[in-house]
This record gives sequence, C-alpha cells and structure tokens, in this order.
Amino acid sequence: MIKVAFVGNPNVGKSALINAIAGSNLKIGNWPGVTVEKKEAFAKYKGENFAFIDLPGVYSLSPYSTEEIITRDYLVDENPDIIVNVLDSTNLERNLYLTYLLLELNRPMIIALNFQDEFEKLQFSLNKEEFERNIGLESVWISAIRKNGIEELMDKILNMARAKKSVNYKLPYTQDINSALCQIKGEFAELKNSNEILSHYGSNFATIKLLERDSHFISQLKEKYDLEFGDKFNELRKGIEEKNENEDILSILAEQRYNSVNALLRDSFKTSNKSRLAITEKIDKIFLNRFLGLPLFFAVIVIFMSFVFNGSAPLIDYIDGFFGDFLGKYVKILVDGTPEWLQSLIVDGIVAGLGGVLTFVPLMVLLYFFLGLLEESGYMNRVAFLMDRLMRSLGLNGKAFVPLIIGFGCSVPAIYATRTLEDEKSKKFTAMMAPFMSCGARLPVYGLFAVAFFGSDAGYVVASLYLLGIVVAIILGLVCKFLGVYKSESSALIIELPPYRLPNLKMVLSTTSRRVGMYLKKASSVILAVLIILWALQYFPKGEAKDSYIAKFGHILQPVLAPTGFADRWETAAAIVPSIAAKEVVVGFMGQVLDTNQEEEENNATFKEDAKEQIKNLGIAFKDSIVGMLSFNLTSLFKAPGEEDIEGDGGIGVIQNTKKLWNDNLAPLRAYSFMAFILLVVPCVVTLAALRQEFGAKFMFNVIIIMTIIPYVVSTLIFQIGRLFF
Amino acid sequence: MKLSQLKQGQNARILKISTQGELKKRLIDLGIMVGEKISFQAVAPLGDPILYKVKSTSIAIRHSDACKIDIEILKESL
Repeated sequence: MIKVAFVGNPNVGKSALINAIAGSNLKIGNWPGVTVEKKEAFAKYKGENFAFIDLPGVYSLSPYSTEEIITRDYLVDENPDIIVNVLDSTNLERNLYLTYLLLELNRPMIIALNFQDEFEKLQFSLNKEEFERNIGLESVWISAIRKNGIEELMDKILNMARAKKSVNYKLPYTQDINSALCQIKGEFAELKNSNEILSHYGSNFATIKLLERDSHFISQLKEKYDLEFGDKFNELRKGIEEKNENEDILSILAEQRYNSVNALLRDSFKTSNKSRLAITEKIDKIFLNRFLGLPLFFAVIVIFMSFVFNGSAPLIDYIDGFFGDFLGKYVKILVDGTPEWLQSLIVDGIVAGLGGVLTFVPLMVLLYFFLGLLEESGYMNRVAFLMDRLMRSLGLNGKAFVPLIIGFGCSVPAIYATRTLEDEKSKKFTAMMAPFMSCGARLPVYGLFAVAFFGSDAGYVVASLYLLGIVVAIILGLVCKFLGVYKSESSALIIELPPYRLPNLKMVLSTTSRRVGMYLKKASSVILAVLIILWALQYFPKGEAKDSYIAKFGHILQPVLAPTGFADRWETAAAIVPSIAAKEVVVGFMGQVLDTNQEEEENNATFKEDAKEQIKNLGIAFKDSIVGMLSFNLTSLFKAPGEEDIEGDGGIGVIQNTKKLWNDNLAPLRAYSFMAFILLVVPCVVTLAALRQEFGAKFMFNVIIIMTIIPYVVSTLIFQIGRLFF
Repeated sequence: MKLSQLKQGQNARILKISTQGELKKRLIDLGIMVGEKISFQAVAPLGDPILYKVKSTSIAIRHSDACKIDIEILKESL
C-alpha cells in the first residue's frame, strides 16, 4: 500500500483533487481527540494499492493550531511514501512558503499545480523546467475540475514510490543559518537517542525546530525521549538575531523563505496585468459594502433558512405520515393477536422510533447541501468577516452566526453546522449555545399553554420566550467568557477571504451524502434505543400514561420542582421526561394524561388504495418542498400552531383540559414558568446524539447538566419574582 | 503610521510588527512581514475587522491587531 499525503494551503482544492483520483471510496473519521475531519481515500492504479490522506489546509507548520499540529505530526509519525504539495497556481507567491517548509521534512515530494484553467485564463506563464530545477522538485499541472493531469500525477507518484530514492532537498537559508544548524546537529549527535530522533524527524527539520525553539517539538522531545531542550541553543539564536537587526529568529527564517520564493518566481514565473482577485473584488464591493453588506447578508440567511426549513418541512411531514399512518396501520395488522405490550412496543416504540430518526433525513440533506454550497463558494468566510464584531462581544466566532440562526429552526442541524467553525473550542462553545435558540419543535408546546392561559396575547408570550432563550444564551456565553471556558485558541482573528469560486456540485453532493450516512450510522441506533426506553417508561406498568413509570417519576419530581411554580401538578413535572424524546411530544403526552379524546378515524382503505395515496402524497410533498423553498417565508419557524393543529395533536379539548391544570390567579405565571422550563431544559435525544457524535459523550453530559440547572434556576426566578407582582 | 490608519486607495509598506509570539507568527505565515507591500481593501459594516490585500491575497485583520503594525505610505501603485 502506497501512502500519499496531500498537503497545502486552505482552499487549494486538495479534496477535489483526491475526489477526482479516488472517487468516493472514502473513509471519514475524526483525528483523535479533535473535531477535525480525517479523510482517507483508497484507489488502485496500475496494479498498486494507494491510500490518500487529505490533511487539513494549513499556511505553515507552526505549533499553534490544531490543523498544523495534525499535519506536522502525521507527516513525521506516519511516514507517508510521497507528499503531494497542492498549490493554487494563481497564487504561487503565497503557496510556495509552505513548500519551503515542507522541504525541511526531507521526504519525497511532488508539486501539484492546481487551478491550471484559471492560471491560463489569467494569462500567467510559468517556465516549468526552470521552476523545477530551482526548487528541486517535480511538478504536475492539474485542473481537478477538468480532470487534467491526474494520470500524470499518479504516474509520477507511482514511479517515485517504487524508486524509493532518498532525497536531500536544498534549504533556502543563508550561510550563517546553515552553519548554526550544523552546530546544533553536532551538539545533538552527542546525545543518546540522537540517531533515532534525527532519522525519525529528519535532521533538517529537527535542527531548524530547535533553532526556532518550537514548543511542540521541544515538548515531544521531553515526552518521548526525556530530553530537555528549552534553553539549550539560546546563545546561538541570540547571536543570529543580533546580526539581523534584532529581528526574532522566526521572522528571520520566514524572510529567507520568502526571499527564496521571490527569487524562484523571478526566474521562472511571469505575471500579467490581470488579477486573480478581479472578479472577487467586484463581487465583494457589493457583498462587503458598508451599507449593502449586512442587508445582503440577511437576505442570504433568509434564502438559506427558507431552502433548508421550508424545503424539508413537507418531506418531514410526509415521512411522519408514512410511518404513523401507513406503516403504523399495516404493522398493527401484522402484529394483531400478540400481547398488547408487544404490539405497542412494535408500533408505538420501534416503528414510531424509526420514523423519528428518519424524519431528520430531509433536514440534514438540505442543510449539508446548502451549507456546502456556502462554504465551497467562499461566502462563509465573508460571514465571519461581517459578523466578527458582533459575535466577538459575545465571546463567539463570526462564523458562529450561521449555526445559531439554524438553531431557531432545529438544534440538530445547528450542531452539525458548527463544523464550519475552524477551531475546536469555538465549535464546542457554539454547540453549547445552539439549543438555547428556541427550536421549531417547541412551538406546539408554547402554542398549547400560551393559548390556554394567555388567549389572544399568545403571540407576545411566544415572542418573549424566544427572547428569553437568546438572553439566557448570552448570559451563559458571558459567564463562560469570564471564566475562560472554551476560550478560543487563537485570540487574534487573521483570516484569508479566498476568491469566490463556483461550488463543485459533485463534491458538495458527495460530502452531503457522506455526512447524512454518518448521521444514520452513528446517531440512529442511540436515538432509537432512547426512544424505546422512553416508550417503555410511558407504557408500563399498565399501558396507561397516567399510571406509568413516567407519571410516578413526575410525582417524585414534584417536591424538587416546587419552587418553579408549575410542579404542583404532576402532569407538567412528568412532561419533562418525554420532552427529552422530542419537544413536540409534550402536547400528545398532555393529551393522554389529561384524558382527552384521542379517537382516531377508522381507515378502511385497502392496501392498494393506501399505497397509491402514499405515492401521491410523496409527489405532493416534493412539490410543496420546492414551493416552500421559494416562498422565503420564515414565519412557520416562529409562529405557534393554531388551535386546530394543537387539537389535532393532543386530541379535541386538550386546550380546555390544559386550562384546568391551574385555577389560581398565578395560573398564567405557572404556565409561563413551565414554558420557560421546556425552552431551557435538556434538548431532544436527537440533539444529544448529535452532540455526542460531534463532541463526545463528556461534552454531551456537560450540556445535559447545564440544561438541567439553568431551567431550574430560571423557572424558579420567574415564578418567585413574578409572584411578588401578581 | 499604523496599519489601522491606512485608507482606501493607499498603498503602504510594512515597517515594523510590534507583537510577539503566536500573533506575529500567524501574520508572517500569511505573508504580512516587514518589507511587504500592503493595501486597504474594505472595512466590515460594523467597523471591524478590516480587509487588506497582501501578496495578491485578501486578509482580514482586527482593528486592535492592525494598530500593532507600523507602515509607511508608498507613492507608486501596487
């Protein structure tokens, strides 16, 4: 198996290139301990097996960011046979800096000059032979979109791997640096383990890192070989710095690398009067305009939300109906005759549970697809630019705006959308805040209680709850910022705004299907298990919700929740448990425990008739989906359902019965306290599964704890302070 | 003059970067170094961050960090 590592700046098309070579034969995971995606692809070429590893985009190999450390450690520890350094050929000036850093690793390397088509359009020219001679590497022109150069690249990789020639790349440094490196090497050679270390890291890399006093390398030497190197070469370093106008060593070395890049380009590259950023700058004049920038951004957000949520809603309803009405009916017939509890387990537990898992698929597909388009086009970086000031005051990353907005539709895609943020801590921080953006599933619960206790003012009440969620999230964020929790690794924002590019549809589609597949593989079994457990708690011991274990648990919770004001009724205390299955389930639960009439209509249609109906409905759902996407009407995300819909969910009279829960003059306050609790309490199991999949079980439990304490405190405050006024 | 004071249409050369450690390294990695040419491209609607053009790349830097970079105005165009 020939291992090939692809390294390059962000946005140079590494992934598209690997995709062009290996198709979709991918293995995706996370690099251990972090949320950075590890992408490996496999292919067979001319009889040999290849493994391609797509390393994160980096500008250099410093010890500061997760991506750089991952790239560095992989190249040193995993010993790939060949390194392919992918360059954006339209920006050689900057891309080649990393190339000179990679040369220090002294491993077989080939340059892939990507975006050949754009290079030619710009009328740049490169003397390839001169270029290769100067830098000492072979290169291949690539246009990943046109699939040009792929075979040539593979042939070069194959030949190089088979030849197994050792390499000795020239370093771009001046004499005094080179002699310093020799000196370090000499001193190093006297230590035990030195041969092992030098051959593992490469003597060039090791000595340069020592001269730079690279923190990651020094700590690795301590950990693995118990060698202390912190201050060993200070004298040497200071000597060089003094000779160079007291610039620090990092700047000196960087400058020499850039000088080499410039010399290389002077000899082999000719630019033109065209700029690679010409079109991008024109577009940004509008999108980043001082006056138009924000309104346009909000327009993009509205379009995005409309596509994702209005587009998926009819399909979600369809799947809901398919499992509930169609499958439910026929499976019921199949299991007729078996014991009651088994029937309920299969129909209300398993089938309903499966439906619950699959209803999220349309949402995930549309989310990943449109998010992918936003990312690939380059607009996402503009979002970071536009929102940075606002988000940073809350301790967040500018890009965090998008996941949080998505959270108003549904927390699940919001969690997954945090992938667009670059660093670990920002992702976690944002993911923690996302569930506080009141999701659409809570609307039926608000609808029920707001209409029952506030009548015509229900709309204002619901709006206030949304505001409450945002305020609590902001306070939580400020507390975390104050405590230094999830503080971003890099407190400085320095980001590149890459040129706008037409999204590669094939890549976006392949990433979308891959990620939805992962959701189904990883999250679904957990979700299904939890849903069945919740079903059991609600069914046993007697098949009646009123006497179930959940009800018993509700009774137990009552004294604990007493300060919140809504727990004098066990029904509301108990409702918290099913709210963990899904928020909207609370309405159905209230319907059951309040003995509302939930008779279902008899459906006497035949299987054929029902099947026809389902197919017809599917067609209608697709049509409604497209109509919805283009309506750009987001009210459904924020408006509570009307009385008819609520009674459809919970049974006729559920609103009246809910009203009977409390009779004192504090009844509306109790209802508000309850709604606030539901707003802030542990998110639904699918959200929890998403948190666990993306960030690990420990983080998920942290969120559970936070979202148990906060609702308790807030509801109590609302009730206890509120009662002083009423 | 500080980089944060650079205006639309002006081209400059970087004279000094008064910061250390990680921030300086990240600036260097993106090509923002002493001697490099830099020009103003755009500013975010809320005033921060600011977009500059360096080595035919657009790079956004926060106002507070741009204050740490000394520049001199150049007469010629980039």
